[in-house]
Amino acid sequence: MALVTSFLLVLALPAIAIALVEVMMDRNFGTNFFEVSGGGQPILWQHLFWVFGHPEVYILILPPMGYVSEILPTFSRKPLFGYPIVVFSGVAIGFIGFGVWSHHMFTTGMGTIATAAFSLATMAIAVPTGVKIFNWIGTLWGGRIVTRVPMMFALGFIWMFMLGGFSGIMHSAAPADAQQQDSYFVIAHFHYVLIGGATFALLAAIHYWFPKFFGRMVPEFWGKLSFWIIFIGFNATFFPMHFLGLNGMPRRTWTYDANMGWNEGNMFATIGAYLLGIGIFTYFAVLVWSFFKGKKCGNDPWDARTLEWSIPSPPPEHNFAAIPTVHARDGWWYEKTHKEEIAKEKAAHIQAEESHGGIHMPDQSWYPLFAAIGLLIGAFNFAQLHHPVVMFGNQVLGSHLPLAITGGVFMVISLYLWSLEGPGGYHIHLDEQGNIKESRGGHH
Amino acid sequence: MSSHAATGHIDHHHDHTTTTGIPNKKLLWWAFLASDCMFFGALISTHLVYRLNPPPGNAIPTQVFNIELTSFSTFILLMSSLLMALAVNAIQRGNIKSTRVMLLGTMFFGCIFLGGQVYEFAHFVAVKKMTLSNSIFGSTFYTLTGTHGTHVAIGVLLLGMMYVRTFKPTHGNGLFRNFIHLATVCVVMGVSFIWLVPGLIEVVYGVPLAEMLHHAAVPLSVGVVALVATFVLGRTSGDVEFGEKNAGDVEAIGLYWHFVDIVWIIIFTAVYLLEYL
Repeated sequence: MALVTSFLLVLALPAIAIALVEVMMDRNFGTNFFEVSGGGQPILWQHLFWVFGHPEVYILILPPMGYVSEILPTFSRKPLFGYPIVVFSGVAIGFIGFGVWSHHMFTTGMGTIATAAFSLATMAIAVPTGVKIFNWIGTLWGGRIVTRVPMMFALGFIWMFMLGGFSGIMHSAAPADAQQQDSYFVIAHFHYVLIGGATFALLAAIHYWFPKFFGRMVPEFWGKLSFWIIFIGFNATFFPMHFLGLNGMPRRTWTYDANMGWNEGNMFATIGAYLLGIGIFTYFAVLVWSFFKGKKCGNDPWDARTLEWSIPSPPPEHNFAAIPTVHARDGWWYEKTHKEEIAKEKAAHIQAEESHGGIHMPDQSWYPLFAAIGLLIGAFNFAQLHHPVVMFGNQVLGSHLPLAITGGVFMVISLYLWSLEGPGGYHIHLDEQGNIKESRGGHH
Repeated sequence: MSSHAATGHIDHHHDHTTTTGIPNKKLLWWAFLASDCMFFGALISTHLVYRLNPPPGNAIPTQVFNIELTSFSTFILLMSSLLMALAVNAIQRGNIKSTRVMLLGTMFFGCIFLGGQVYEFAHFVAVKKMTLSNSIFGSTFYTLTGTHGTHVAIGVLLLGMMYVRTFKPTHGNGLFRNFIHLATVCVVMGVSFIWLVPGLIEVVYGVPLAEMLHHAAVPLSVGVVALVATFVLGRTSGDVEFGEKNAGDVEAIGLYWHFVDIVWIIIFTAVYLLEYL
């Protein structure tokens, strides 16, 4: 899923980059891209934005789909059901995701053919998503389900994401969407996919890999408590919005007449929002507590199946003492069930590694950070080029140009010094007790 | 990489090939070019959308364009791609001298193209009175072709860096010398596409040569000095740490150069030729 996401990032971001460049040109250099008085068309902004914006929602949801595909098998004590189909569906979503952007614009008057085509493509993209849902259910089917906290969030993800998906299919029918456009129904849909979907999976993933990151467990009771508060709070906030939207409440509304019949739903949602806030606070407060005081854990607290659980928690800087040979999709599970074979193989790997001069480690470098700071200073000041620089109420400089140039020069110098650093690095040598010795020089 | 050749030792930690079988550097360029396709795709789409929906009072392209000049510079850019391919071919055979000549040729042709664009922009603004802000055609035209021109200029800079890179001595780092060398190459290229080529185009269109030389006397003299310095710095005889093993690096820049060339063919068709149908 990460690979598909990377492709989407590489291909979708240029569209928003150009849209932003055109806005910048309009603002700073007097072009007319979106300036109606000069013949520009704001609708073009919508197209360019959504050419990026729709792949972007898949950028948000594909990694969570990956997390869930890791977590569900671990806690169902079964391999992921239909692994190749899950991967293929992810790729299919990536492809079709570039052909559905105008479903955000059904009411802008694109004409019947365009509307029908985007409507069809939008219905089509629900298919691979549905396939994934069935694969996850297939993973659970007949498994010995362990309801630890990450699993609770992952199960919550499947359910909530499905609800968001259902309202998504309703939107894909252009006539229905014409009614739902800019209403609270859209808000409900969007939050079911991005909070009930992406965020639930993210919370599951943080909880699942927290022991690997920091070597400490999050207490089960507090984790479950935070899950239930978040789950109830989330549904209390966003479920009423479906009805509010269908009853005609427009989005981006801060007040309305008391006789519109929206009072109860909004009050319910408000209470839910506070509850959701308390839940998220509980979740992260428990994480902070666990970071300092959580129970220490070993390599593999969940009895998991993938290779990151074969190394200590938190992982040492060199990660694997010997680069493991992957024998199966559930590599660590295979290693746990073929201990003798793996022990022999590992010893051979370590010996081979040592004969090549140990494990090569990169040196630390400050220059990437400096280059990024230079870019920030340059871009921030370039964006407000013509405005005077004001500090504590006094004008310091006539324009931001000197600061923009300073940032740019700082970035270029950092990049130059970075490239002069060369690969560098050092080697580490492990003995049988796992003690580490570092060595520099020699061949690279 | 040099030490591999020296010791005959293959270090598996520094395997430059990805699991796809494509070297890292080349894969990076391919990913970047894919991204750049969308970049130009958005700009060209913007241009075409406004071409079909022109507001009243929009500039009329055929009255603005100088199609003969643009066709000529398009041809030059195509030929620069040929020289680029020859440079890659030369380094694959380990012929450093020929590589240098072909790189310089590619850069020179790139500068002719850029010079044509500098002339074109200046002419459109001064004579045809089309600016970035007084018509939507001006907005889309200058932004699109300007972005492409920036890509070509960056390509020329990359080629210049590769050209200077061919002089890295085997012993000692020669960094300062190479830095000066790169600076002189940049000055020569900058002077040629900002002053020399546009000036010569004006001479072709009837401005007396003496007037052009007088007008651009200072930059042209600086350019001549830098050109001499470039030649002097280029006359080294020692062994250089550059050869067949760097073919992948030259090829990577070649990918970029050919891509920018292909984008121009699309722009030339969609922005210029389409208006004459």
